[in-house]
Amino acid sequence: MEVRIPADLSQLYVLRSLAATLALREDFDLDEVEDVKLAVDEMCSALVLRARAGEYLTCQFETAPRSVGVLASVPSDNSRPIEQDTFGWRVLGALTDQVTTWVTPGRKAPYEVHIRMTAEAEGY
Amino acid sequence: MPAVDRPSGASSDPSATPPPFGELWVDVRVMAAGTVLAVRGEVDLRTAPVLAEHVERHFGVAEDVARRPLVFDLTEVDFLGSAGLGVLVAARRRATTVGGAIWVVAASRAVSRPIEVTGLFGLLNVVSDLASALDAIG
Repeated sequence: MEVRIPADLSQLYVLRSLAATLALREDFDLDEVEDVKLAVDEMCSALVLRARAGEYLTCQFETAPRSVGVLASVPSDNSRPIEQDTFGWRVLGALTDQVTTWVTPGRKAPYEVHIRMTAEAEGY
Repeated sequence: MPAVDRPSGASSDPSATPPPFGELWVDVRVMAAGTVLAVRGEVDLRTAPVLAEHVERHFGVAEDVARRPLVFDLTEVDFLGSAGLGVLVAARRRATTVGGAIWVVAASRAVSRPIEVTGLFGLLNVVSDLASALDAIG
């Protein structure tokens, strides 16, 4: 599933809600759902801050039984990577099984900043 | 500022309707023993500045008020992201410089989880209910 939404802080709660719904459907328990929600909020917050004004945030949700993966990207004027010495990144690292960030040349702006994370539901 | 701020003097009624999705309301209770910020709703990158404004007011108005304890009652908070943690840490830093203190009431996992995974539990004087915070500040 791919979601394209204005890269604006007012959209964060929509993305959190969507992430929570998808995690619930993949059988995450309620605590794990909250973790996914928090992780998706942190990754999207970091990207919105880096987006070129008026541009869109793209989120690709890849779900599988007991697994939610998200690849989020924004067009940016700046090639600087996402800072990792922040509370936000610490939260992301703690709540996901894998998280990475990188910058590529962009089409709508000089650069495109990406974050990908995967969260797996624990055992029963 | 897109987030909704409650009119000052509004009573803090726990049974009152929660704020709309994504919003944040703050009720302020100034007492002789300290100030309580009763926060309701979601603290994210968009709404955190509302909370920061209340912190600024506590520390910026009068020196004797700034030295009194500041209690963040997050019992009714449904979401706390790192932007909110940033406000709490800044408040703690501010309190330390003026000889004050902060307390954080974290009753739900939505609040305690981000504090725990960032290792901020001890720094923020976390307690599990408002009564314990009020006891602590006397």
